[in-house]
Amino acid sequence: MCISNKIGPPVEGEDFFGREKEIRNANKLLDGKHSLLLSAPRRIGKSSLAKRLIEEKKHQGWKCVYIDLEETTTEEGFLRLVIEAFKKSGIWKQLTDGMSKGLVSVLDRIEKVTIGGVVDFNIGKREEQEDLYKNLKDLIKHDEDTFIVVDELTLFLGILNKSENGAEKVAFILNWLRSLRQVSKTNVRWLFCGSVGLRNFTSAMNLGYTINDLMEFGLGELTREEAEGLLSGLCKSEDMEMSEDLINYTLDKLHWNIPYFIQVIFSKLAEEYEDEVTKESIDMAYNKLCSENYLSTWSERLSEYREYEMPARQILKLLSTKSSGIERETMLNTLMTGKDASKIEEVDYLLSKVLEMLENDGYILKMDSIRTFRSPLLRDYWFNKFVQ
Amino acid sequence: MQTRIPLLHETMQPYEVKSKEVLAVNEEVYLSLINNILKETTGNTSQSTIIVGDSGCGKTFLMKRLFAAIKENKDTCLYPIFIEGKSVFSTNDIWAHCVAYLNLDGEKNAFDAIMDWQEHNSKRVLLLVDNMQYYFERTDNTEQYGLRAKLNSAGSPILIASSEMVLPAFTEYDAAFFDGFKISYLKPLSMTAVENITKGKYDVHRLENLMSYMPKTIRSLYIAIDILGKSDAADKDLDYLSDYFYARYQTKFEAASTQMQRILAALSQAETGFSLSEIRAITRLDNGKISPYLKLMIDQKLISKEAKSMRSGIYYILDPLFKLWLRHNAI
Repeated sequence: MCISNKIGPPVEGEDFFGREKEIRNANKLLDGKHSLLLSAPRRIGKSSLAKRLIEEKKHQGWKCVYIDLEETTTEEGFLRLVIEAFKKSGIWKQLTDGMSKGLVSVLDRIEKVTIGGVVDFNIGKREEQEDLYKNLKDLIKHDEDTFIVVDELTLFLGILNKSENGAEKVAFILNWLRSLRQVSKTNVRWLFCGSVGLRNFTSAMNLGYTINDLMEFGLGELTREEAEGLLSGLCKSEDMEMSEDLINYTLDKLHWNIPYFIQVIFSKLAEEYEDEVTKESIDMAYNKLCSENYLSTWSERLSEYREYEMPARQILKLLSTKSSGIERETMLNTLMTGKDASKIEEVDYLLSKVLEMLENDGYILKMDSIRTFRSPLLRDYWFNKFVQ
Repeated sequence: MQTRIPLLHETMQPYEVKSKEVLAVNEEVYLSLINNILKETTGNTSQSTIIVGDSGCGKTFLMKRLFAAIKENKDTCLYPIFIEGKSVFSTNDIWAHCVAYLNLDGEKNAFDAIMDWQEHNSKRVLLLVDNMQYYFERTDNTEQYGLRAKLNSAGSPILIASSEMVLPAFTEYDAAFFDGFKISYLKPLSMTAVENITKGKYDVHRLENLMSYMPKTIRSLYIAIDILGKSDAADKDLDYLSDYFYARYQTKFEAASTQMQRILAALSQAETGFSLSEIRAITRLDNGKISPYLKLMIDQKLISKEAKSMRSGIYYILDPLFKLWLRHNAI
């Protein structure tokens, strides 16, 4: 086995390792005509898993589409991405005799979009918007086995929600996606991925019903066996020797064994590798990770929290000071610092919201009454960067 | 027993604590504190507590209730000493107050003298320091570390303090009292609590209207009740309220520059708030003259800006009572 160490982009092909149980479960659900919702912390390997499922379904002769909504912030951009991706994968029907004028006109516009033309979708007007989406729905081939992955849907909807008439746009898109899944005898299956919980998002907007048909699908850290296999596979690919003891030492140190952390610590070990890996070199690699910018994305992406960014930073800063974890009450006191005492209930609610987001995104974890950083690596990085 | 309504900045005295009207406020926090304190023994290490609440919400009264309850309790080993934080400038001042209260010999180290007194009398001092924020504002971290070390030693006096706010000195990582206090918050007075306290003796709608201009505290309720006693009609209530605070807001208004006074007067006319262009239209000032003052007033917490989008927003006066005063006196 030879795995190349790719840090950052989703891994595909031979570089994908483990997750056999999850893939088996996902396949079973998809074959049973279910659409799925995969909410898991960032960097845990959601996109890699989705791409792996696409590979498998392609082998089975399904049509597959991968749409990454991280690339867009507008409804127009969303439409463009969907149209292009569907066109590329042959999801749209072909022009046939007897097609309504509306469908023909939309197909014509689809052609123009996919050859890079400038197309005005007229989505400003409600009736035209409804017509367009209805026509798009009718143009999908529902009789063929199809698998559509929509990545970062919540991220996109969160941004869209902040735009003018955002709530209305969000509701429209979610209802449209739901109507696509509800076409009678459809063979199209969907997988929605996101680090920000779609269920929390839709329930906060009273739109929970738009995703009630989706089967929840979880993704945690790698099993110990998988983590050992990944690290040992990476070593082999770089001709590096690492004993079982040292592999265990590394995984114990990381504690939260997600592929990304294994990959970054391995890249540091590989950089410094001369003849052998030792406990000292593992400690050194770990400490370097804590002081360099490998983990800066975890800090940068907090900007997505918008009005919750500052309180989230206050909480993470506080949590990084105590490896044993911190009680909710202490966090509340931190957020209350300098505020009128009458704001207590408001701040208490804000804290609940922030904690939920940080837990969903894999920064922190709740154990009994205390919260801690989920990963000691991330905690030490945070402490080095923002406290020390 | 009929409760005497305290004056504007007066706190009820501990001998009035048995009044049922008073007991209805902050009862939950009081009971929790008294139950915990009474579990303390002479030799253990205790948890310091701080009661946090807005001005007028009943912190001092709560502390005095605790003082009175402990003083009357013959079964407890605790010996309460009440200290006003405004008179504390150092850690030694805290111990000096205790030494004076206990009539101890001044030659010995004050803290040691207190510990000896405790041992000799099988008692433990319960320090009730009101307005503890003064101590934290006047002392440095080293001094505060000294206090924490003393409080954390077994059998030392127990501290229950009050503060208007959670200070960085309680929550910052390198602060001496980081995670050092159990903080109890006194919540704003709800209208249900108001109804429970007034028991149908006053027009709740008029009280609610008056309370909407003031912090939701027991002191505000006393003021509202007092106004209802003087005002013979609902439409005169707000005139009385504005008069009640005339001197305070007159001083606040005069402390502002002429341009700020002009902007404040303009903003007081708004139902919710005004955009920059609306302020410009009313004050007839240029944008360049308005913007720096708006920023300054935001910094001074006189006004706030609610963003409608990234580039626009509306400005409004933060304190509704100040807005009312401006409407009555500055337009």
